[in-house]
Amino acid sequence: MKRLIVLIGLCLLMQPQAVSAAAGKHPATPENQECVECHGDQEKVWFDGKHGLMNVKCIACHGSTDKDFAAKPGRASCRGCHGDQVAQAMKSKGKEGKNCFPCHDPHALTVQGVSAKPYHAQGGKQP
Amino acid sequence: MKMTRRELMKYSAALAAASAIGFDLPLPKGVLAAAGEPDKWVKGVCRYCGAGCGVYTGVKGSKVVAVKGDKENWNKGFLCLKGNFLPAILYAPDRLQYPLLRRGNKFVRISWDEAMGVMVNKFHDAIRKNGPNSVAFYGSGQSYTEESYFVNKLFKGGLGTNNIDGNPRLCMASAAVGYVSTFGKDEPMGAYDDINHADCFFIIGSNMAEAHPVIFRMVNERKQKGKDVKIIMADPRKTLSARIADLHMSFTPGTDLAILNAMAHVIIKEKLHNKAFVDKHTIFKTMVDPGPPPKISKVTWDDYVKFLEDYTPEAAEKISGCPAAEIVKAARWFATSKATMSFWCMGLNQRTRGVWANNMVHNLHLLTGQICRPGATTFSLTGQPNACGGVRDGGLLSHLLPYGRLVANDKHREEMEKFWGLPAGRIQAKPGLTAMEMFQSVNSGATRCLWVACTNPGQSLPNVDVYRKGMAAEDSFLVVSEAYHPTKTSELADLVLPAALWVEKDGTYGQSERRYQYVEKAIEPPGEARSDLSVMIDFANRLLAAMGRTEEAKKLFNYKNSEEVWNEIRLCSKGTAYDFMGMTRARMKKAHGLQWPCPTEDHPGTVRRYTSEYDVLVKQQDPKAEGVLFYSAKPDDNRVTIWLRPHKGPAEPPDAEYPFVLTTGRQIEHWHTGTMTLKVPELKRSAPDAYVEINPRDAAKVGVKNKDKVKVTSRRGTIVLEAKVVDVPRDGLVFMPMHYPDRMINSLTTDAFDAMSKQPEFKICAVKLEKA
Repeated sequence: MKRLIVLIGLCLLMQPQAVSAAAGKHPATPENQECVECHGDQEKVWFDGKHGLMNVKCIACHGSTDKDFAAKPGRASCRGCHGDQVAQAMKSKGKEGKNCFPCHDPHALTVQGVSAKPYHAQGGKQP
Repeated sequence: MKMTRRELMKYSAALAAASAIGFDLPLPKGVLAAAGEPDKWVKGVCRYCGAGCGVYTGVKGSKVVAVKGDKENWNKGFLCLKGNFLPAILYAPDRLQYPLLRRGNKFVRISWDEAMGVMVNKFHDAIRKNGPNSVAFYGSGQSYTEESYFVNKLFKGGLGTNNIDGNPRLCMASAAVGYVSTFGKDEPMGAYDDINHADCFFIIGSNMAEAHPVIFRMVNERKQKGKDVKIIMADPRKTLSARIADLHMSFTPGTDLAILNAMAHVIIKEKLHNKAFVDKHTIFKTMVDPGPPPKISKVTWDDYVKFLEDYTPEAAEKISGCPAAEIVKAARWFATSKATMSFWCMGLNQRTRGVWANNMVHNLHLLTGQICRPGATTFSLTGQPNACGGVRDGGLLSHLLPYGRLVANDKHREEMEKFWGLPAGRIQAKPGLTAMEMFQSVNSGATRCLWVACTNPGQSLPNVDVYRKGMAAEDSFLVVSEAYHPTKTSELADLVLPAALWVEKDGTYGQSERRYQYVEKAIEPPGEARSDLSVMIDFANRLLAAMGRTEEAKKLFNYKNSEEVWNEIRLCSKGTAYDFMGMTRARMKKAHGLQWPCPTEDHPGTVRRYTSEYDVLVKQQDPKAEGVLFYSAKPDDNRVTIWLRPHKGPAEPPDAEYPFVLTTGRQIEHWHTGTMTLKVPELKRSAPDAYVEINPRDAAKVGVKNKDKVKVTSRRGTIVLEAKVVDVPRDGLVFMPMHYPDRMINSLTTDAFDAMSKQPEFKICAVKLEKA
């Protein structure tokens, strides 16, 4: 059992990215490394969506790769353009209140699962 | 953000190191940690581009912790990527908090009293020994209108020199002269609201997806919601903006004048023009001799048709490389849509034939009558937040006086002398030095004292290394008012004055669609930083006192706050084509911007000018007028000008020795010289450094791969930077972003400028590439 734990530990050490991401930190990257180089799948979904077309880039939600990095962005990152919707979500006691992503796909940012219009139209209350 | 002296010293040392390697300092601890739910939201305007998005700043305690778009303003609550990070610019680690005086190779902290004393002595001494034209001011479209108006009054009226110009000369001058030469008065007649009504967009020389993203958002929304909306994008790069284009016209840089004439050729040949509109509202002119002074002659419709005969689409294809079929398609779409709206930006303005290119876009609208209707308009995009309101309208250029008046016009000078209460003849009849002439004059030693406020010419001038020498010279006295230090300009200064930034002071911004907006003060500036207006008032009173003109100073420069200056500005606009007497400060505080003309307090503002349906000034000029009346062109009987402008190429085309064209531009993350946006960690991470963008075919020819180092050399300098190999620029063209102080792209660019607007040709110069 001890050997297994040590082995798992070694594996984790050999994958610093996975460890850091799980801890909410981003591994150190060269300055000229672009997000797409490691996160191509997410980038493609984003690029083909509305936010991709409008160049609302990764940093808008995830911050930089430094101490302000957010693996799981909060709702504050959406407030710049969607102030009313965020204010509505904040009133909700349900899962919608925590952040925007239970209802909005994280990278396409399309609506998933529920109908956004009734939700926001009703002041952040589930229909 | 208060710092102890010990912290400041520690921080200054870190800054010195940082300035050598770039701007890698993290934000001080506690600044972002303070972010949270704001206590209050304060209404204002974005600090960056000329789009002028309405913004609320969220204030918690004494700090700005958030921003959100103003949904009741034109931008409907949307902000661009960099707009979302605005709070961080206020808390950048290199905010300057105290006046600094150069002592040898070092700066030492001094008091404001000492700083003003040194500055007054230097300016007074120069004026006494060498006359008022030995001093100059260089401003920008980033200052508030009240600041620009005041300093214009001080230099032109108080000191009697017209040597006052600014960054808009590098940015907007060709658009301004283009509007004036075609329509008689400056500024677009339309508004962003026209986007909601246009069925065809002709976008040339603008990468609006990155430079004006919220306007791009509106255009895309119109495309999605409208029926059969066409977007034509003319640009030698296939930029991110081209993602929404129905037709992307690529061409050899500098040949678009031939394309514009060829579009006019097709429109007339296929009888798609609006002859009734042309006959009623236009005249034709050509420049017989460029002068100076230029000799202009009136010509006829037949002359224009004959002039265009040579500009067949096939001939234009030979010149430009743009397929003739695309030129024909663009001309047809432009002429036959229900409403066509043109947009352009630096791609047309920053050219040695920038004014001509502007005239030729206007020509297409006049020829087809695609103007002064909802959706039909010719619209110049603006680079800076107050280039229109503060500089073009307010007259902070060396040839202008406020609100459509000209230095060289006897009547206009007399009007302003009376308005300002000056002795007759105080304002010089000869226009002063334009931007490039001003820095040439600093180099020659003729300009002894230069005050640079709220801009960064040490990085932004073309062929910049030549002018940096003059700014650094010991025999010139350079004062720089800046929020940050060091910048590429403040590092050359003799005296650096710490400036309040954005919502640390109040004032008025005027954006591209004639919308004036009040920015309320939300927080105190750091340390001893002051608003430029308060420094200007202080300096004016002290300088005139030193000159023995204390009583005059009390009469001319006795203002307690920005509202008193604003009230004088409103009066100055009264009765002009700009008339915004109705924009009281109380009204501006409540409104989400108001568009001039707005002559009375009950006037809602003007969405579209020169048409009786929307513009109250039409009936004032002619009570019987119905529909379009170009009252701006009164000397030509209210007829505006279709210009016969031949094709002419750039000042420095590529050749065997320098085979590539270098063009410059913006990235969405950054703004201008990066003094603000490069301090925002997120933006810097996303766009950390300059690069040379080159297409795969040219990269193969040069022998470079993506991320290889490339040496780029023009006739003026060399820089080494990383290659970004991507199929965006056409063959023979490379692109570099302009924002980075550590990669001085303007060491390469040419300082050749347009003879009419005096705006330099940043967009085109010849370079060679080598693998470094």
